[in-house]
Amino acid sequence: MKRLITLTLQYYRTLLVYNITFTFLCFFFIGLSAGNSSVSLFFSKFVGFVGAVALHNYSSAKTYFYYRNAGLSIRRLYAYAYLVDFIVLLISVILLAICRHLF
Amino acid sequence: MSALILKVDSVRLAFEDRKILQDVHITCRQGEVIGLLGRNGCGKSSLLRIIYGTLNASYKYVSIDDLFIHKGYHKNRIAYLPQHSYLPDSLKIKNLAKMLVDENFWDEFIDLTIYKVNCHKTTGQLSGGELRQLEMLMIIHSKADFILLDEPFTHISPIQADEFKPVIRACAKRKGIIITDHQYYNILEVSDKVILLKDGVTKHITNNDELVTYGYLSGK
Repeated sequence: MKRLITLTLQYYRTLLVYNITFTFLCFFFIGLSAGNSSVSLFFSKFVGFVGAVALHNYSSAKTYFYYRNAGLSIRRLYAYAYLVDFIVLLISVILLAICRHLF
Repeated sequence: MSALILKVDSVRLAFEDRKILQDVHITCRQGEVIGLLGRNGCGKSSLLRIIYGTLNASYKYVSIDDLFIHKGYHKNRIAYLPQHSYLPDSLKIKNLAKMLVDENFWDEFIDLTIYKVNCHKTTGQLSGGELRQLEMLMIIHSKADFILLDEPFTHISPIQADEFKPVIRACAKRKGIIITDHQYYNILEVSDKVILLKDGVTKHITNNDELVTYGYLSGK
């Protein structure tokens, strides 16, 4: 289990810059047209993640052999990384709500 | 524990109308090194990727101890060293090695000079040769029962190649290895059996002179 978590976080880390960039861009453009809401936030996060995975797949597909040699299929890797991304988003939203409430 | 047997049978691969592989049969037992030779574009790397499970063939039968294997990398049955670098950038070698190297061989692995010198570096900080050595050593010390090495002697110096051969032989005591490279003399030296891939068909070589007969070597 620890190995699985480490591999997922290693992959998630390589996506991070793309992921944040795509998410902010998507949220910005959706926000302009549809207004900022939790639906647009979650939709932007999903699009940001998919965009990051697609770009990573295009630029760094060779590194997938590392994860496969560690015994992990790429579909599982995507699923676990998305789960991590979703948890990070939830924690961020909760922290933001607490901060808003307090200050 | 008896040695496991990897069987590769009736592999067929075609790109549009061009038949790449049509009659491929390989048997590799743990404890054996199988050398796979062939000209450029004859399908050596494709065959390794079909065995590993990352390339779909028109037909294939790959089994370990008569159990069909769809994706060789599932459950660490087969590990594969591709021709290109495969380790992610910006991660430290020690963090990557921990994920690939078998716990039973960890002490042996961390004793290697190349690891001691570079374990705190990221892949981007290594030279091409250093990275290739570490990538190969991680695969060789992995959990997999069978190892596929695609051009392991490329990008490394002759001295490093000479250092690798005993490592491959030592690894073969506990694993089955299929190895391919254009440096055929290294393959002949390290292999128990040699298979030539010609016109999409495997030819089992019993005498090195057959490599001349089949037109792989010039014989001069």
